[in-house]
Formats: sequence, C-alpha cells, structure tokens
Amino acid sequence: MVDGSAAEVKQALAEVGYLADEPAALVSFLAQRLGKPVLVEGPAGVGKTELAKALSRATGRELIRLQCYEGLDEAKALYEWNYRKQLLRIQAGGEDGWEDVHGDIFDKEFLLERPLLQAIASPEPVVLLIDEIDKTDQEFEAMLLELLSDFQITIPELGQVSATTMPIVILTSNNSRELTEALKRRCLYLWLDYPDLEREMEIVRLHAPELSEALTRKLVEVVRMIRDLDLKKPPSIAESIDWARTLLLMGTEDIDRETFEQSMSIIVKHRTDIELVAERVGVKLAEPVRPQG
Amino acid sequence: MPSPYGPKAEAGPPGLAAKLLGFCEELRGEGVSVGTSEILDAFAALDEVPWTSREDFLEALASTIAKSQEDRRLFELLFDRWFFRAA
Repeated sequence: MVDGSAAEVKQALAEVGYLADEPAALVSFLAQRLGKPVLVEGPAGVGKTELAKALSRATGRELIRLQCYEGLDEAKALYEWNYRKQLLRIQAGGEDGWEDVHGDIFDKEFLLERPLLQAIASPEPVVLLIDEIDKTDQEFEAMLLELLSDFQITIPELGQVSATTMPIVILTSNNSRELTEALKRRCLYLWLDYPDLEREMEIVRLHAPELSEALTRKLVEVVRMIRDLDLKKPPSIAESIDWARTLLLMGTEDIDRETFEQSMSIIVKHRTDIELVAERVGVKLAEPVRPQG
Repeated sequence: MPSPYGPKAEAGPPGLAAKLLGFCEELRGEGVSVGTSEILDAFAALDEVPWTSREDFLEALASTIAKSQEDRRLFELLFDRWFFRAA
C-alpha cells in the first residue's frame, strides 16, 4: 500500500527509482485518497510520464497508456467494433435470422477495447496514463470529461460500463495549448519543473551509482548550464542519466573539452542546438591534459 | 425546545472554513477561477494532510485551487497573508 501518507508515497516511489519532490509525492498521495485525476504540466523531459510509470511500479498496478496525438478519436481511445470479425460472423451464419445475428455481432467478443475502456473495464485497479493531452482537440477533452467525472463509458449497443475499481489517472501536458477550465476543474494540479542541482545529482547517482560524486556534480552543472541556453530541445533528466552512463562506459575521469565534444550528442540533438552549445558551453571547459613526453 | 431545523452542523476548527472562503474570494478577485468544486476539493484535501505542516497544507490547497503557473504565483502571494501568519 502506498496511500498511507505523503511520506510513504515518496518512500515507495524512491524504492522503484523515482525521486519525487514533496509536492509530487503529496499530489500522488491525494490522488489516491480523493480518487481524482492528476494533471501534470511542465517542460518536456522533467519526468511527467515517468511519474505515472513509477506509480504503477510502486502500487503494483498495471499501467495503461493512452498516447495522445492530433486527430486522436474515440475509436482509437475508447473502443471500436471489430468490423471484419462482424462481417465474418454474418457470412458464417447464413441460416440464422437477422435478429439472431444482430444480437450476436454486438457482443463483447466483437469489441476492440482501446486504452480508456480497458482502464475502466479492468477487474484489477490500474494506473491510467493519458500522455500529452494538449495534443488532442477540445472535442476529445469533452469526451474525457464524462469519463473522468463518472468513471463510466456508455456503449450504445452494450450499455454502460462502469469502473469497478478506482484507477489512478495521470494526465500530462507540455503546455502546447491551454486546456479547458472544465478539464482542469476535475483534476488535481501538479507543476513539475527541472529539479534543483542537489536533487538531480541524487537522481543521476541513483541510476549511475558508479559515477564519482565530483563527476556527477560537474555533469549536472554542465547540463544545467545548457538548459539555461535558448535551445530547441533542452536536455531532459533521462538524458542526464544517459550521459552519466556514457561517461562511465568511456571511462572518463573529468569532463574536459574533448570528452564533452565526443559525448555531447547524448544530451543535445538538434544541429543548431549543438552549434550553440559547443560555442557557449564547450569553450568554458578545460583543455584535456595531454600526457607529457 | 429542540430546534425544528435539527442539530447544528459541526463548525470544524474555529475560523478555518471562513478563512478558506475568504482566501478563495480574494483569489477570485485577482482573476483566479475558483469554483465551488475547487473549494469542496480543497476541504477534502485538507482532511488528508496534517494542518500543522505549512508545506503540506500549502501544497494540498494549491493542487486543488491553483491550476496554472500564473494561478500558483498569485496563490503564493496571498497564502501567507491568510494562513500560518505569526501571531
């Protein structure tokens, strides 16, 4: 159980490799206690999606993920009738009357459950991640409202499907558009930002414990310096961890200019970003020490 | 004689409900959209955290009331004037 107190939630998340700050732990705790969805906003790469995954690991619940994109519709998010299978059934049962077939082809057997229906219909409690909700349109949001307030879905041919267990629902948004008031009203709100130096060091050390403390500090300092530049895509926490692991593989002892230039593609990925970073950060690092003689 | 309206509702800790409503009223004045459902959620959230901890109290309130960064900024500006003020 991880719904005893915010401190317990924090501890449980840490045990599965997610170092939550106090607000994130508290909101995760409240989400379970109050049965309300959480809207997590913040820049890309601060661990919004990861929070949902960690909650799934910490609670032992299955994670059901709905990745949103422009044009996502109910057929891909909720459910769809398996049209081919229905056709086959009609053809196979040539002798049956229409009434029989009609009743038959709108049975659960012919239903394709998409993530939202899966989450509602699941007999075990799940964690439902609705990722990048800001990429969908307002129509889709309106459909979600019904789902998130009543935790039920109406399928005209089958009737109502109501949740028997309360899912933990996490919605993430990168702020590419303002979400509707109505949706926000139903959610608890959590703003996640890049962690401070000390916490990011802790996170990196958790995932790359062999890296020395001094090198971890330098790595995080450089990453933070890079984030301060005006980049197309600032390095995420996951990329800090990737970089740390790369440095370990390279057997690096210090981040000097040469190491940086060799490995910076791990954290900076746009061509224009790479130029800017090399120019503004690369030159601040020391020249590599050449062996004498 | 017993009141025809039944027993009075429990008032809760003295002044907190009124204070919270006043706080929300002032936030509305600043342009933060605080609806009745937010206020009900705020009370429900406060039931779950120790009121003696300023951080828990603040975060529980903020997560139910301030639903954007701008809202949060205004929330923090006003919070200390209403709660946890040194006597």
